[in-house]
Amino acid sequence: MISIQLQVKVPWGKLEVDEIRSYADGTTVEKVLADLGIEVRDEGNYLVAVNGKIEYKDYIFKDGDRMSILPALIGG
Amino acid sequence: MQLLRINLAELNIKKESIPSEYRLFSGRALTSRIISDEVPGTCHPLGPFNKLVIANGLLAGTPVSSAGRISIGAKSPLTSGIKESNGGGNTAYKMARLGIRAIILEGETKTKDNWYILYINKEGVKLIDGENLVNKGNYDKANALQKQYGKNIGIISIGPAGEQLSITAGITNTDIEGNPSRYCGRGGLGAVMGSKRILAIVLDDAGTNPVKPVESDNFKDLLKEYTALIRSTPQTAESFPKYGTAGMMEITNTIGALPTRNFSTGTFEGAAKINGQALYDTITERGGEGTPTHACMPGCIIRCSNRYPSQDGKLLVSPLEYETIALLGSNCDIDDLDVIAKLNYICNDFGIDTIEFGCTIGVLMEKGIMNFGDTKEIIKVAEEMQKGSYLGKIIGAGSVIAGHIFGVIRVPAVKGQGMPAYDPRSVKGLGVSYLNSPMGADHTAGNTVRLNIKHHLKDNQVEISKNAQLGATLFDALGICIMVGAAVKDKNLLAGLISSHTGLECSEEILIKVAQETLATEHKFNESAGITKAHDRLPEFFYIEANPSNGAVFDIFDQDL
Repeated sequence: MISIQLQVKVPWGKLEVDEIRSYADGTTVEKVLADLGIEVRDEGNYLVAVNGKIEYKDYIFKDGDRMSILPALIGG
Repeated sequence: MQLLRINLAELNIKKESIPSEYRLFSGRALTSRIISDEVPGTCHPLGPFNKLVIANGLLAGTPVSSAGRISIGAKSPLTSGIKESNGGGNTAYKMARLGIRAIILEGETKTKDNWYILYINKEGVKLIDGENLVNKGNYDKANALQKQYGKNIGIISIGPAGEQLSITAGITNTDIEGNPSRYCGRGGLGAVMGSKRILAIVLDDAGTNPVKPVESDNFKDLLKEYTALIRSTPQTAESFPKYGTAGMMEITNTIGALPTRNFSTGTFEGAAKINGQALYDTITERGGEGTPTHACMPGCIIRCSNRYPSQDGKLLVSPLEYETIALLGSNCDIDDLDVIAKLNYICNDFGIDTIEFGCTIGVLMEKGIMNFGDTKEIIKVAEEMQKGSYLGKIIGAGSVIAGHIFGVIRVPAVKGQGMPAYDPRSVKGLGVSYLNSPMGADHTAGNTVRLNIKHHLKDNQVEISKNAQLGATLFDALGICIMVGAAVKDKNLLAGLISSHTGLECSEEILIKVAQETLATEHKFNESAGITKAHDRLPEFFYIEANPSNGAVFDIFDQDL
């Protein structure tokens, strides 16, 4: 088992998580997204950062990783 | 629609038909085309041969949401190249109601004794003596003009910074409530307007008829589709209306792209006090005249603007946006929204670009002229700037000149223009846009940050930036807010709206061609102005100093471009 710190703040769907969760070894970004109820077809609407760097859905987590899910926006 | 040409040398005014080759050109496409056709690249930006062109979009004045951006262009005194800066407000809408596609200010007054107001209503156009408004801030100017001509006018104005030919002066536009704070801030275009001795343009559309589409039924159907997309896309339907552009800070702070202490790192310890959530909470808790969601232009349903109240509920500034919060906040080590709002108000009133101001203060802080995080000193310096002190004049000259004067090497600027609120080491596609866009360091010229890509790696970033620059130019060329891009991805829908509104043939291919031609025109102008590939570089420190947030350096070089 590995621990992943989840920091999720996406305004739509009222999705807000800030906690450490345990997952099986080999867990990918895609698996965690599914666990959170985020559909892959929404991919263009959010960004996933692991330890401050954008990662794709096939990224395999390591113990202690920090995963942030963010809305895909531009500023002004 | 017509072009309105004001020759300041002769003090004459001409209405012209739009030449057939310009008919599908509006917004940035039109400002850049006119400048390219009529302004010599070698001219002095504040001399008689430069022109200031103000243009609305093809769909301005219609109920199409977010299609009321106003584009202002000229040869820039800050970048020495072509510049277009666009903003919201009610002025593009009112120009359309008055039948005007673009206003061209050209020539130089014979004496430097007079200042003018350009007044436009349905009866005609006239130049009026503006002496009584000289050296007044933008808010006082707007109040005086609204008192004289009515609360419902639109105003395009400069503050004292523009009058003093400060090369970081912006041009502001009134919003729906008449608040003069929707800025075309970048590139020092306020100084060009000042060099033409025009303090303000008053757009009085009383008694004009609504703008009507040529093919009403088709237009209505397409409008319904367009509106539904905006209302059903999460970013435009939920995020922007709640957090505004400040919602961006959560992303930049997470990926190490939030400029902090003069771009020395990309994460800010105080981000939670100034981010989108903090802004939303502060505004809603204080209530009063504040609101977290506000339309910056007539008919906008995204409503990403806001009105920020002071503790007693009175309006302090509107809007308070991401770029300003980051450059005046984290970049100066300030985590107090009230201080940032106050500085924003001072900059708006004096008529100076908040991005450039924040970059310049960061440079001064780096030198130790004042300490990072010293809120009292930064407000004092901003007030000195209003009073015209020497330090204030240096700040008004921007980050590059301040760096030269105080011997600072780490100056975040490209082609003379201070960098917006994304560290290019952490968002490399935007870094490429900063360095090779015709506009200098400008986030609106091709922002890649919302894409689901590894922003800290160099892979494909040149191509990604190229596409983003083309997309941004397409929206700018139509006077449509770039925020719409998250919702409306089918350019044929935009083309259909244009065809049914104007009766002109339009398609996605035509829109892309206009955007491509616009970029090519701008690059050609810059070449004629002496800007070469050697200017397409970031400041050296981005290539050699790793961003402590993620270890990234900017590693895209001349040969990669």
